[in-house]
Amino acid sequence: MSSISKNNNNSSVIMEGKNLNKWYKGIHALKNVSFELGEKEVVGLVGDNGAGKSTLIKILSGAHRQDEGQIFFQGNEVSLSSPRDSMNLGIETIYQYTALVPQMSIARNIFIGREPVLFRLGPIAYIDYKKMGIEALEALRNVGFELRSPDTPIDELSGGERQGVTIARAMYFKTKVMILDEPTNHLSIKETNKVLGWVEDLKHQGITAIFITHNLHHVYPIADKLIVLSRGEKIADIKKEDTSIEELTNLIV
Amino acid sequence: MSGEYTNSLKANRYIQKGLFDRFRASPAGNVILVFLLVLLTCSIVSLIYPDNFRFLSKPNLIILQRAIPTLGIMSIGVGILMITGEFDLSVGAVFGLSAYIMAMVYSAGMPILVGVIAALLVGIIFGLINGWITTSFGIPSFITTLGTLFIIRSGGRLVSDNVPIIFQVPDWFKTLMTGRMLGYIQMQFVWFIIIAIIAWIILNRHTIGNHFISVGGNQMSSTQVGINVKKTKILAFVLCSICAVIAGIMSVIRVGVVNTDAKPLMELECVAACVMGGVALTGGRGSIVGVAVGAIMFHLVKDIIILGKLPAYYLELFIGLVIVFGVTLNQIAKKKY
Repeated sequence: MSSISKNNNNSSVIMEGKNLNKWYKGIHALKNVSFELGEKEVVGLVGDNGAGKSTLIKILSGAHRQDEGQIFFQGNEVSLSSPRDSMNLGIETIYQYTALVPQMSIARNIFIGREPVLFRLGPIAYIDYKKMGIEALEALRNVGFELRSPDTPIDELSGGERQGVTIARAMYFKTKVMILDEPTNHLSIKETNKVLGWVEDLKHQGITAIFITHNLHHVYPIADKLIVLSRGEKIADIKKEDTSIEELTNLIV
Repeated sequence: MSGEYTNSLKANRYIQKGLFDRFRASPAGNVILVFLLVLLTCSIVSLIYPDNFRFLSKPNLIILQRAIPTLGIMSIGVGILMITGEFDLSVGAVFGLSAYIMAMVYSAGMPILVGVIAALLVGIIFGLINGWITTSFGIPSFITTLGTLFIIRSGGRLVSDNVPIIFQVPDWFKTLMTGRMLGYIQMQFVWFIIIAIIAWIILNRHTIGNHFISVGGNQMSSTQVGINVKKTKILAFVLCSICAVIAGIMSVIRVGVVNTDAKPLMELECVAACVMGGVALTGGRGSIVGVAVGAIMFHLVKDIIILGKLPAYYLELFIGLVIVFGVTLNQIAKKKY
């Protein structure tokens, strides 16, 4: 009885995958993977190179389509055939290096593809530049960038700050599920901690985060649940309190 | 909120960096600085030696205003495309062919506006072809448009049979496009400024401009935020061709003679003007002001060489040096600031 009630507490599932399969030119990259993501949960998706992590997130972000299997979002089956589809549902993916345009300002980056428009006249859509600046500043404040001007080009920012901008963007657009692809790769220890702090904060903002990494030590402190992939198969899906770093390390290796 | 925003902007701009450093770090910073210096020097020299260096004389100012817009308008199109991350080497050929088509349609007894529309259609079609081939088959646009450059040039010869058309457009149209205002201002130059302003608005205040820069800067991330990269690039190709058509029309109606193989190497002059203006060859970086100033610089130097009675090949030497050193300087500026 106690175990059932415990389950109920965490059972508000926001996203679910059932028997997902993907082949690339004959290679079985994802083998019958099923998973559930709870609301306001930080899920660590770990595995060695080639384990199928990227394939899985590409499917969830709409970049690729699964060959078999179903995806449910808030209880309804969904078809994700483009990144737009995922974004419209509130699934935002932050890729390691490719999420921002280095030459553009912070404000422009936050609003690429979703620019606030002052007026629209047929094909003419005039950007509300001032609103873009103000809103960008607000979005940055949410992740604690008080002193950064929204006009700063991205290539003047450090790696950690860039992650901050992408996280600010996702928060601003009321993301429900945020997929972070190796967000702490190549960051200094100080910046890694900063990024980890932001990811933890997502939970308090009601956002579910999938944290992809091959560094277990980064995700373990902040994760609620860990999913381990190996050679395209899910080999573990376990709550943090039921496992330990040693146990997981042995699984991955 | 708004006041706060402005304050934070000010705080940042002025505390982090001096205004001058920021200006120099901007894509067009260096070229504008050099341009102002050259302009100032020329004006002073011309004031001191009005008989030997007629830079500020009325005929010279008129010549400059007639020469700059052709290259300037084309370069703006090429610049937008380069910012989007692609090249168009076929602009010179589109420039010649579209002007010829306009003259042909007009000479056949149609109203001049029908001729203009026909010329624009030709440009749009070639823009679509360039963009479609490049984006659909993943061919570098350098190659695609190198091919269409030859195809359009030879197609032009086929259409024209190498016989120039001599024609006289209606006065109102001639005055509108190439007339003179207030004694000193050429309409070509006015159109150049108008087109530059429109281009600036498209690039900086229109959603599509945001997409141009983002596609040129990082194609992957643009796809990920849901931008249709293919559509965006094709649109940039079309805009580029339209600019070439406008330049083509403008350059022939004053003289009233058109041949399809006019101005070889025009396409490379455009790339040169863009590079001088701080447009990155890799896309994503550049400004309309820079491109416009780059095109003006090109003719300014040409003018100085003519006025100073120097050999004509000095121009090519200068352009070559500017491209090599200009790009180097921009690269240094980018690292330093």
